[in-house]
Amino acid sequence: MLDVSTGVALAAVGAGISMGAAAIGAGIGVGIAGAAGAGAIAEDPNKFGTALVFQALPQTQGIYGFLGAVLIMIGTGILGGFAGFEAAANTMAGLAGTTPENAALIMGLAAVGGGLSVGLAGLSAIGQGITAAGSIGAVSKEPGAFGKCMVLTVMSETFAVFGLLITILILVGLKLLGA
Amino acid sequence: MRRLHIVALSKYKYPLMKRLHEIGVVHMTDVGRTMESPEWAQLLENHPSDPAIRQITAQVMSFNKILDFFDSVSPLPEDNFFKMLFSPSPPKVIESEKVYGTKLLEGADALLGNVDAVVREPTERLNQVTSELGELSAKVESLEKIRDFRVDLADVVKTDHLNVLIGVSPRERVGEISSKLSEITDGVSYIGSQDISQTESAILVAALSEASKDVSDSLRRLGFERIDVSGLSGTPAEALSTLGERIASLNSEQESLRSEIAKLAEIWRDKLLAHRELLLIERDRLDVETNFMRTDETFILEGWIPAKSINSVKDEVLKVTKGYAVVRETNPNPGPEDIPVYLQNPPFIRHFQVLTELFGRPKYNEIDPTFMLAPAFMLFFGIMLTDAVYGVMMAALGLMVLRGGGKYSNSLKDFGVIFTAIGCATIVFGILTGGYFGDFALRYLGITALSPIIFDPMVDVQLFLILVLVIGLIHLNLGLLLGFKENLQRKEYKDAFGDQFWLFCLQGGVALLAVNMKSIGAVLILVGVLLVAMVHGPLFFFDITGYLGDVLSYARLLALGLATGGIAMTVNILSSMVEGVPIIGIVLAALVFVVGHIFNWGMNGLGGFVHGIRLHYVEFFNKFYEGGGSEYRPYRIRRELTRE
Repeated sequence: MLDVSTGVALAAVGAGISMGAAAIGAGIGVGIAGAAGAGAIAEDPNKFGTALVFQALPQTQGIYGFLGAVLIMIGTGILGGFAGFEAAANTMAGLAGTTPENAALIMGLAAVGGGLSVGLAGLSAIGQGITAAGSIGAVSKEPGAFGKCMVLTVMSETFAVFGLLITILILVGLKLLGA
Repeated sequence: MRRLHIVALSKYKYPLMKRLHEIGVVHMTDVGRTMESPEWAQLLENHPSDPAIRQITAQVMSFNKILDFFDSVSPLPEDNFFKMLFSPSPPKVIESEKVYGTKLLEGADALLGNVDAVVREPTERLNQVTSELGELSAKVESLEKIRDFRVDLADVVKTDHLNVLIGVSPRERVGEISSKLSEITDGVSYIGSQDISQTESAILVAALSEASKDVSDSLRRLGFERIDVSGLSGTPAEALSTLGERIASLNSEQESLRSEIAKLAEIWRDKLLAHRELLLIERDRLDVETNFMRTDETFILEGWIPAKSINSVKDEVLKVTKGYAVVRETNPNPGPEDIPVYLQNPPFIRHFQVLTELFGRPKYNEIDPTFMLAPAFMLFFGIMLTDAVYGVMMAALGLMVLRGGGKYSNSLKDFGVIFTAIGCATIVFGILTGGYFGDFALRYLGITALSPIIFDPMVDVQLFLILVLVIGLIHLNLGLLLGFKENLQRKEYKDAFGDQFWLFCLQGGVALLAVNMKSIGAVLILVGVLLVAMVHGPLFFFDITGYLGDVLSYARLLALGLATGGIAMTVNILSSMVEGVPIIGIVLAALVFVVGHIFNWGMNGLGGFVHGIRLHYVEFFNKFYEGGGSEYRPYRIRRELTRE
């Protein structure tokens, strides 16, 4: 019987941070945009569509966080429970030429690193929500500004995309995914 | 685009403007702004606006008033959002006569007179009925409170000596009211009350008329609400039924009036709409004159005209004015002049113009980047959605919009074509990477024929990353090449080398270093850096990091591509997990599957669209494109309803 429980715990923490932190960011961002949307709708109910599109933009960080968490859970095998993690740790030990205990620790720490990357990057949704709120006001007044405001709003998301990218590269680089 | 100047005799002004309005190719500009020199100012004066404009505006307002009234009584059916998108009703077409000028204005007056004659009487009656109904329903509401009060309302009157009031007050105040009343009137009064609810009582008060002011004042202060029962008789319940009959008869009268007006609307609405449109066209025709300048006998106009239309317009002008006109055309001065831009793209590409215009239409001497944007946008979207089934859904949506709303609306047609195109691109990329609802086809259905053809994005992530970065490099370099060519053509050599050419040197140098040709590579890199340092000064370092950032930004294609596949995979896992639930498992699984995939398709479709646009606007256009040209808006007849 191996002792890999530290690794499992760390992997769970990684998945948790990934979703949790990203959800904070996305939730606040969507909230900020939504408040501006409600204001625009109060003046003209036809602005609902515009408001909805802009409000949806900060949501993507939440999706990235969710994706990150699922990828971590697949990569470390904890989607298949304790046995799944043990099996993955054994495979990992074979690949890295180390003991399963060490492999489990590596996997757990990789999961925490990956979770931090996409999770914290998800806080960029707050900034995106602020821009989205301004854009809703701008587009309500001047519908021609839609494209430009869209670009301004998407800017913040670049960092969330990079956060997700790094998470994926960590998981792939340490052969948790893809191998 | 050519600059057009026309001088003609004033007596041909109206026919000439009418003809130009019909041809619809001249973009009018204000002559006054180009004729600022004192010499011109002595010769010319501003053209006054036509007095008929005011009359037309007044007529249009009267038309609007009647049409609004018609719409409020019998609204025209309107398509809802989905009907408009997928199966819109055909636009209305009204045949109209060819009338213009004074005849049109006289016709409008006559029409207004005719409509007014038939509509006035039912309208006024309808207003009376509606206001009486309002009064009656208020009366019914207050009478309902004292429905069970046993009193003959005919007795509730004010005579020379006696004043009788009826109303309601809070229950706990009844005693107070009674004692106050006898105090004021020295006992010469009567009060009867009956509880009508948990909180209120109905009260009948009789007092001498001479004290009525004091009585009603103190009653009001004690919370007594008077109910007006003038003209009613019998018990409140009887009065209510009389009122009910009256309301019913008024309601039926209102109904018949409304249907009468609806019939009138059916007869007259089309005529009014057609006439209003003709009036608006006429106003357009006259409004344009304020751009002109004039002398005693002539007027001068200026505008822009596409080079291909110049000869036909010249011929028309001379024909209409019987030769009493001078038409001159000049080439525009590049630079200070704000030259309108007329975009011409081949049939399929043309629909992507809307994406270029969202950023800004090209300036006059600038290349229109739509021909590059269309294929690259399709490719990027395909990589970001990476799923054949999602691609089919996208293309189906596009085709439905195209065959529905696209029939009558140009912008819906544009988006229909764009959605279909990017849907097809997604299908191709989905087949290449084996994405069918994520890993559904392969893992759950076991169809090995649908395996990835080039690579599996979830497995060969490094390969995918390199692929998207290479695509990014190619895309950026195409932009740089375009910018380089444009700058050379405009003879802006400094920009050509400082904005674009140095990057070719730098990239070439890095490439040579990588294949071990170190000395040539190092020299090229040095040349590149020196070039940019010379042109852009000490901040050139940020040009280098900025370019690196631009290339890395294309990594979003990978991230979003994996996000689509990853979430699709998650939906499949969730769906197979709930399938284990006894009895309703299969239904739950189907529900999770359908809702999950539609959500993923919608969110990542939006993401792919937005990020595809962003890569163009921020990374690509930045290399060569500014935009900000003004739209070519020819002076032409804008017809929506009528057909002559």
